[in-house]
Amino acid sequence: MHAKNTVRYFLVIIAVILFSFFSNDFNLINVQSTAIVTAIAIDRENEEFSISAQIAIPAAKSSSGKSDSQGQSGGSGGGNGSFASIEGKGGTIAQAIEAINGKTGWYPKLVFCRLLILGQSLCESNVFDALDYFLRGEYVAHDCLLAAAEGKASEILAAKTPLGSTSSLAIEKVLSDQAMRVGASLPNTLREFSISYFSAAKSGYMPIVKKEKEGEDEIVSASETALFIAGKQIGKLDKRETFALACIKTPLRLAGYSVENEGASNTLTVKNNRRKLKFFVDGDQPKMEIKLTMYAGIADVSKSMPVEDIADIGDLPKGVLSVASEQLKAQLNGLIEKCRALSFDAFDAIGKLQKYEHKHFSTLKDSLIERMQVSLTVDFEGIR
Amino acid sequence: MKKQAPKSLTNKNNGTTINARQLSLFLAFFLPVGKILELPSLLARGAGGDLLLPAFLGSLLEFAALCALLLFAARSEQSVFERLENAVGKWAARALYGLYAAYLLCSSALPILDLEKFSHAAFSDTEPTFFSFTPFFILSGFICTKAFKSIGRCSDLSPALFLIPFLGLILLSVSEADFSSLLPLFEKPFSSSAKTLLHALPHFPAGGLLLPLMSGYKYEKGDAKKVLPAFGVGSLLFWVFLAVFYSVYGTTAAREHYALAKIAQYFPALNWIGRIDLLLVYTLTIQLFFFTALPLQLCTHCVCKTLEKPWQVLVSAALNLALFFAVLFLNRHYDNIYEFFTRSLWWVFLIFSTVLPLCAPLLAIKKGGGKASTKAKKEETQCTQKTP
Repeated sequence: MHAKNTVRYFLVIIAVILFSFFSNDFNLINVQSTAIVTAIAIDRENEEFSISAQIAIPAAKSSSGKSDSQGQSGGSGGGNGSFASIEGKGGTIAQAIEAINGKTGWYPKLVFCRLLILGQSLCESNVFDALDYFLRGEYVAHDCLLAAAEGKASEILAAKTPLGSTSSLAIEKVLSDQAMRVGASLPNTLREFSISYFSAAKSGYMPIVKKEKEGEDEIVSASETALFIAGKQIGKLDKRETFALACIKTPLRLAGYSVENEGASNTLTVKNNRRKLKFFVDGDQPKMEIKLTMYAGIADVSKSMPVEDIADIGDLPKGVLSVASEQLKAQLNGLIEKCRALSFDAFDAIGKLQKYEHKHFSTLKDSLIERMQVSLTVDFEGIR
Repeated sequence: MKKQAPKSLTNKNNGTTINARQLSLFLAFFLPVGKILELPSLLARGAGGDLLLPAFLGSLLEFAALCALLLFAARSEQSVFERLENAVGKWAARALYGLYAAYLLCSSALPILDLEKFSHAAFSDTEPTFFSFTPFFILSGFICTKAFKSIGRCSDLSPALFLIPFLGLILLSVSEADFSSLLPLFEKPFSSSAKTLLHALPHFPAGGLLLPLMSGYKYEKGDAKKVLPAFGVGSLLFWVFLAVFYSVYGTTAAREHYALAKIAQYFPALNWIGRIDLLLVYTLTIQLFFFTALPLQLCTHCVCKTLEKPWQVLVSAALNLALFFAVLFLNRHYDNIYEFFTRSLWWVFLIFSTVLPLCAPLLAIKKGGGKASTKAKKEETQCTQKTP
């Protein structure tokens, strides 16, 4: 009798739970009334934030395979839907996003937002005036890419690029992991940038995206890097300095590196890079030892060579490795001095001081970058 | 230590008992699930990279309470409540049941609020209505009508429900973890860690849960060798989770609520294949539902004992309905409630989850004898062995 009743209780409970569950449409969102934001550009105009959101408009495919709806407000069509760019303004980012909701009737959904572009005007003040909104929200992906715009962020997001139908997707490509592995850019995510902002060094970086003329078309490049201290941009690294920092910061794969040797231009393929950073305090003198080993083969030489010399990519022209080592060492030294002048902690020295030499932390943290002696060893080794 | 009674009698799970294996599994794989939701961000907020220290101290308090309760169980055939009834009187036992019922009801508020917020944040893309959380109270109402045997059975299932998704989440997280974030050790003063622990005491509920739960547990010789290491395993898993969580989020860990759902989300492949880690989170959430209902289940038991009536169904319905409306109201004052429980009421949690369990062995001391009379125990065992 007892067991029979238990089964009845179970059935009643299951029925009630299923009713509650189904009555809520599985908690799904009606995509027709939701703005799926894929990228946001943020500019600051005086005390007001101006945001431009690129919104994906889902559309059903017709039997002919064409999209049933087209983009609005300057959106670009194609694929299974289209994208629209909507602008909103407000005293806070939340207010600006609410303005988009008010304009379109769509509830902006940020969970698929993969890119935040910060305008130059915003980067001159503390960018976390804007970024705090994204850190607070539980419905925002914190691994979205961050980029600083040269000029207005909204103009970058509105760029018409031949590399993709949607500018945000084209920008994501130049900030991808693949771009990072070849040393073409130094992408950073909201999470990583925030961790460095809240650390003792407060030093962070993000790539600069800018429009470049390519014939009649415009392309978006991200080969330069903006440097930030306490959320404010304090300088930038050019393309060669960005590559030098990438050699220390990231694992490189198939990165191209060109050097002049014996009157010919040689392009090496860096297949791997081994990075060793050692920080210590000797007496009261902070020191950092950087050992960088680049494993490279030859990709191309501007002068033709005998067939036996091009048979093996590991068989490099004589002297090219030492020239490459000297050239990269000079670039790295230039980078170190630039960072020293800007008091920018490029190699997380302050973090290392805090973690491994904590007894010196309070006395050295403010003058560390200026006082730190850096010894640099760069070697290129041939690899097939 | 008392003489071992025949297993056929004491191991029999007749609906009111929980055996050593189940207790061990409960401590190793059931209890930790409640600590990996909101506690990691709470500890990171107070102690930063030193969050393992208050976590260790909290586990130490729980361990001390567990040792005291095991010692009591080893010395007495009766539960704490029965012992109190014999020593002081029926009213004292009923008063203790009543106090624990009130404590368990209050201590269930934070986990329920956390679970509600977590389920909305993890499984929805925007803010859903509160009523999508209603099924929890139906499930809880059902669980509360069940005897302690159901807790034992949940514990039996816990290795599969907890360990596999837990290890899966840890494996997905490790690639993004920078363990040097935990350095330097002991950067903050000890007082900071101690203060953090006091404010996090509602999240170390083992003593408060075990005291009523162990009234359905009969100690057998050698049980301590199983139960205590099992608690160590549970604590170790909790510490590993904390270390990985802080290593993934570093200085931003304090603001990363619901660590359980977030720890593995940066695994690189998830960008391409989608949030498959949520399958692991779903599995852990099933256990989290049962863990969150546990204080209410024990509360129902305590209320029935206080009233001396077998009204589990009625009490369960009343409790869950009341909680449903309470949470509906408290939900709007989440921060105030959290502040009130963690900043003002920490001493209540200290008393019920640590001090009272630590006092339990005092009840097992017989007048003039110290330990329970060995002779009486021998006679009792002989009688039991003669029983066919």
